[in-house]
Amino acid sequence: MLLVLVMAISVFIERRNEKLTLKGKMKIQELLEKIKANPVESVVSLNGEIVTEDAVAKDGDQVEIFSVVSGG
Amino acid sequence: MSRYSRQELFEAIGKKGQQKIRQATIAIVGVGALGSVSAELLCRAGVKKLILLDRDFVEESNLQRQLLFEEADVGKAKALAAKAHLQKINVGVEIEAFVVDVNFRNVDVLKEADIIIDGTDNLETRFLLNEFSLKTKKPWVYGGAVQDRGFVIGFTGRSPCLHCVLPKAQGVGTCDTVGVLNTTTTLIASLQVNECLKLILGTSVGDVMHVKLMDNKFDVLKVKKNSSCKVCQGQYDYLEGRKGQEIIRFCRTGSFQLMTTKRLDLKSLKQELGKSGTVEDLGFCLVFKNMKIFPDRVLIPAKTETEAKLLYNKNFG
Repeated sequence: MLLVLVMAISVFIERRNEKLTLKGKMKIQELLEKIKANPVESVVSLNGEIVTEDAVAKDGDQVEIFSVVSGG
Repeated sequence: MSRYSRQELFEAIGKKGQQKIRQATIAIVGVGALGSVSAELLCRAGVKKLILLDRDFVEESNLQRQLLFEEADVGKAKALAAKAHLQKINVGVEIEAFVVDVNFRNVDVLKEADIIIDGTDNLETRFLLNEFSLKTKKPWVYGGAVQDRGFVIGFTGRSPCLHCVLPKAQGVGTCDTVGVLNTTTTLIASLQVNECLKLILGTSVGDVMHVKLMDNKFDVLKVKKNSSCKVCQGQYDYLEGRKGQEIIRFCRTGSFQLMTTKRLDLKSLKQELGKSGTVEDLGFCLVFKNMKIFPDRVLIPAKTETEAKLLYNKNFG
């Protein structure tokens, strides 16, 4: 079996339908700044769990940026 | 076979579960795209009582997705029109309807409910429901839908709460500028009712459900208590009136909602306003010069907030 290690943070930005990778270790706050996402309008999941801006993402992690939905 | 046999045959519910459903009182705050579908599903599922609350009136543009309403309902108060339809669906369910704006002054009307369903269209009212839920330990089910996207979260009335998920989000207006599919709203409402049933049965696991229909994307996310969440620590800014707008703009109708400084006596106001124009009395509100006047709020069609305030002061100040 071939194991492929992804040595980067995989980021998916739902609103833009955009996938990108970031290198290193950073707080979600910094990550949102880097990708120019407004924290007020964002829900962030880190490896399938909703997290706050203080959480830290590192290489190999999966981050998804969802938009807050207030319609009904 | 009984009316609810198809639910009782399903082992996750059974006769015992159906008895629990028959004993449940559910409040639905907002009877629009999400709330109208939730109301119908819960009515058909056979809850004991539904409490419907909505501040709005049916518009033609609602008919695309607000399944309970039909063309003849346009112009009617949503809560009352919904009640009329639901009573025809299941006479065995007690239905109470209020044409109100749920806010910190009247939120206690939800105390009777076992579970609250979110059918609102703004974050501000959701934060109020969130705080009420934590304070009273009452479960509620958040739902949000826009375009092809939506979220559903069942909250148990204990941590984590909505503020743990959205610590920075601000209460935003009710402007609907990007549209929504009726498949999104009906799916989100169905998931909300499913969460509600699980909360009744005691089997809810509190996941966050997210969908993006045009991409066939379905996500189940976990949420934990945020240790720095002020709401979980008992700071209730919305419930205690420190946060929340007194003036709300309804973009679709071009109306402003102004909360009254004192409770209006509609009977005497009808006589007073009648001297300067025609007043229509709908029972729960007066209609005067296109303004809708309730005891605690007035809906004023105006181009700007300043114009709405001027009209308010001129007539009710």
